Amino acid sequence: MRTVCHRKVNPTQMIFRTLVEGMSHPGRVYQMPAINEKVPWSNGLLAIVHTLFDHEIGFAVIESASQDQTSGEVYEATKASVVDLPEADYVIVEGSRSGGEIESASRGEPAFPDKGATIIYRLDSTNSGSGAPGDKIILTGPGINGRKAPQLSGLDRDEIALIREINSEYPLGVDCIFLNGQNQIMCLPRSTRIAFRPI
Amino acid sequence: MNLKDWKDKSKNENAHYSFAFIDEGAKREIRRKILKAIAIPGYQVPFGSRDMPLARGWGTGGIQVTLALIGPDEILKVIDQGADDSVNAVNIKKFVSKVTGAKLTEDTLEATLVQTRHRIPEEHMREGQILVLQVPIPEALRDVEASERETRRMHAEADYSAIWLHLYENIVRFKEITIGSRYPVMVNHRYIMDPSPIPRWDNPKLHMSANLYLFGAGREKRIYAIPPYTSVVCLEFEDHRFRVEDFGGAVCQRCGSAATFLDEMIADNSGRRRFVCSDTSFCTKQVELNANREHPLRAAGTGD
Amino acid sequence: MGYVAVKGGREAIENAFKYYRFLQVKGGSAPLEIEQIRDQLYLAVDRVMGEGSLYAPDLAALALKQSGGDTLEAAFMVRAYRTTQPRLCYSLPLETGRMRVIRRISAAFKDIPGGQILGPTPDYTLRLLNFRLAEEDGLAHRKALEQLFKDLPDVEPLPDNFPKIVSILRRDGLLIERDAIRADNDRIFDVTRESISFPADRSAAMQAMAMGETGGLLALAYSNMRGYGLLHPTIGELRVGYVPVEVKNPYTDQPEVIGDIKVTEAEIIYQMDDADGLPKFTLGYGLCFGHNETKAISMAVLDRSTQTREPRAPSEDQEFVLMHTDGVESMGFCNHFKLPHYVTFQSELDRLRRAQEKYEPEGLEG
Repeated sequence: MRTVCHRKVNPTQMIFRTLVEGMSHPGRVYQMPAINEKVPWSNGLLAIVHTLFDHEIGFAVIESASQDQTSGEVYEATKASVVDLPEADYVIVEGSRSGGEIESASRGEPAFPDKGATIIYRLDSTNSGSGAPGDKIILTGPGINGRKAPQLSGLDRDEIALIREINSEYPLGVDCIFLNGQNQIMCLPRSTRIAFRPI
Repeated sequence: MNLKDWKDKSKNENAHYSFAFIDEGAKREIRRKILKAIAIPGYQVPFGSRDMPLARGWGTGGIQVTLALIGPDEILKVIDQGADDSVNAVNIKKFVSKVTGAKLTEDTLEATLVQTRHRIPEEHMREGQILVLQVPIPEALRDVEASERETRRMHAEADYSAIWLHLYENIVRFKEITIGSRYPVMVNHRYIMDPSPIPRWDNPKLHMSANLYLFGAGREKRIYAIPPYTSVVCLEFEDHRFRVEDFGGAVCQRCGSAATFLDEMIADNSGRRRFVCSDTSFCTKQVELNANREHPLRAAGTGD
Repeated sequence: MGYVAVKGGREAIENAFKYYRFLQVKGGSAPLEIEQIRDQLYLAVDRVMGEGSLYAPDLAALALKQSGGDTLEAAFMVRAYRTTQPRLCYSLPLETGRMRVIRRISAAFKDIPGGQILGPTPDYTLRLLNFRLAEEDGLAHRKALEQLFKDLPDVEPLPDNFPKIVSILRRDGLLIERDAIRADNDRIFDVTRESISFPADRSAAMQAMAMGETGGLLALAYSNMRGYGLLHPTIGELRVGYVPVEVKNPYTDQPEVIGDIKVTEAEIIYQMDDADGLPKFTLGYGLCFGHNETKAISMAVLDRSTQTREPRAPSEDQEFVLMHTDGVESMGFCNHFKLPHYVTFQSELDRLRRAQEKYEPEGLEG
């Protein structure tokens, strides 16, 4: 069958598929495709942003000395607008902690829970905390066969507890994508039930 | 631009279309919505739903989901009523392959992406495979409430009394729940969902499956999802349980299977019936398996 | 053991299309030229542009040719084409007051500033078939043009602009003011990008109706006029003509006219309401591509009826009107029932057989 289109597939397609796997299997780590001269982005955050952002969405950046730089880069890449946190469809957190700020992110409405924000944590910053060292995080729920611990290291226990609290009135809530310095992602959709067990 | 310019432009037909036909902006919106759908199992996410060259009602939702997912190295299977060669499946396959260059297959286990109308393949799909279902009416509560505004409120408040009452009235009147296909399910203990017009036979496959299910309703403009390993429970009463279709002991006359959903065909004017597997590629595999065995299964039932 | 053929679908589809095409060519008549359709069936072209939601007369003409004259199919093809076109920018709001009018009438007043301009319409003709049209030769149009322009009396040119009747009524305090656009509603809804939820934004509702199917809109509007609704419409003004389309030049920020489009606009005056305190007339508004008065009037009726504060009839239910008047969606869904449904039917058979097994006729003794 002769192919009608001659334009090549956009590399965002593979990034998207990685995110689909990540969201379908919370807690699992997935490797995003390599960053090289074939793609128009220079880091994992920009890969995700190219895939999902455009002028139809609004975003906010939290907790960072380089906040303006990140906002600028994201805008340049996608024309997505910077908006106030409660209005943002996407929230970018530099590091593993939001300083409690994601509490004001949109959790959606009862008739439209999908309006709840997506939070992207960029864990390759230097101030990755770890919270109380003794706790184990146990995840259950859709996408998880039985129970599992999150496979990505560098998560902050208190931040995870905050996410759990924000998502306690399911289906309202936020959905989280964690990104590390090795260009790997892990997702925690609001459907995931989070528990803590002392080791 | 006048008609002559258009004619000249169309000679270089390839210049017109994006990869996978729909433009990147449309793909992005669908992709955002797919991720939200996966995050809220069973909840119908509204999306923009572009016009496609196939008619509304003929799978445009499923096609848009497939086109947002698909890559050039994909192996795609498309079925309708379980058959690879059904007219609708052939049309869709041609279109998707034409605008992506994706390889086509009839083997459920070889496919990376399967788009389907009204059936889930008999063979259990694995982790990493995605089944995209075409949905005409995404609203499980539509039979009890015509207004979209009202059904959205019912889902928001988990006010499902109307549909339970409908099932109860069914039983009082007919002593059975008479819903054939589109049998409503409760997903992740929260949303009542329409599984699309799959037969009840296929409903159990939704529960705790290894693969991801995505549902696309183009005309009604909704996308929803069942992630892997998700609780999906058919609505039922303790004393009137959910039941799959009963073929009265008939088996497939092609491969002998007694454990698949069968198409019942009227063989001749006397009304004699003939049964064959609805899942044609599964049936073909069974036929080949049978031929490789020394003693093929005998076909019982109303055949020759 | 009987063998059931499961192959052959592909060939059947290809042959079905060939047969479809065959029916257009089998008579051996000369192929229609796009220009012929565009010029001589211009009202069909206008209808297809409106329902296809794409102002492109040549493409609409091509679609009509390809579809064999099926306006639903043609509109569908135009919509599918529209999807493939990149979105470059938005125009500035059209000012229909600047319309280069070819037709402009009011039923509300006998005479109006600028006059009743009848323009091109068959409204006043007797609908008797004209058999001479069956005998036209290649020169017929040229001769007709000569005839039309022969011995024309001197006439004054039409004024460039005609005042809007509705503006005059508003100025006199007789017509309700529209609600000011809400501050959070500067964003105009785009129904091709987002799915409508109810109650719908007015911009969403108007867009949906502007691309709505003429017959569907007519049926619902008619129901309202006949009494499934309590409205008595009077056409305040109906205009057909060419309106300039302006966009902002991205470099100079100045508005520039990029062309003009033919539209039909209907402003319909309805009975009084006292929502504002003082009783005033209310208004329904309709606008569509091309020359399509039935659609514009129907749209105006439905615009008003869906604003009824206590909806009772289907034409007053905004969700009902907007969900059922898109021709591409309704035609698609209607025709999809021709697709195989044997699996779902098998399920129904199973249920019926079981219900029949369990059936106990009432009134039987013992």
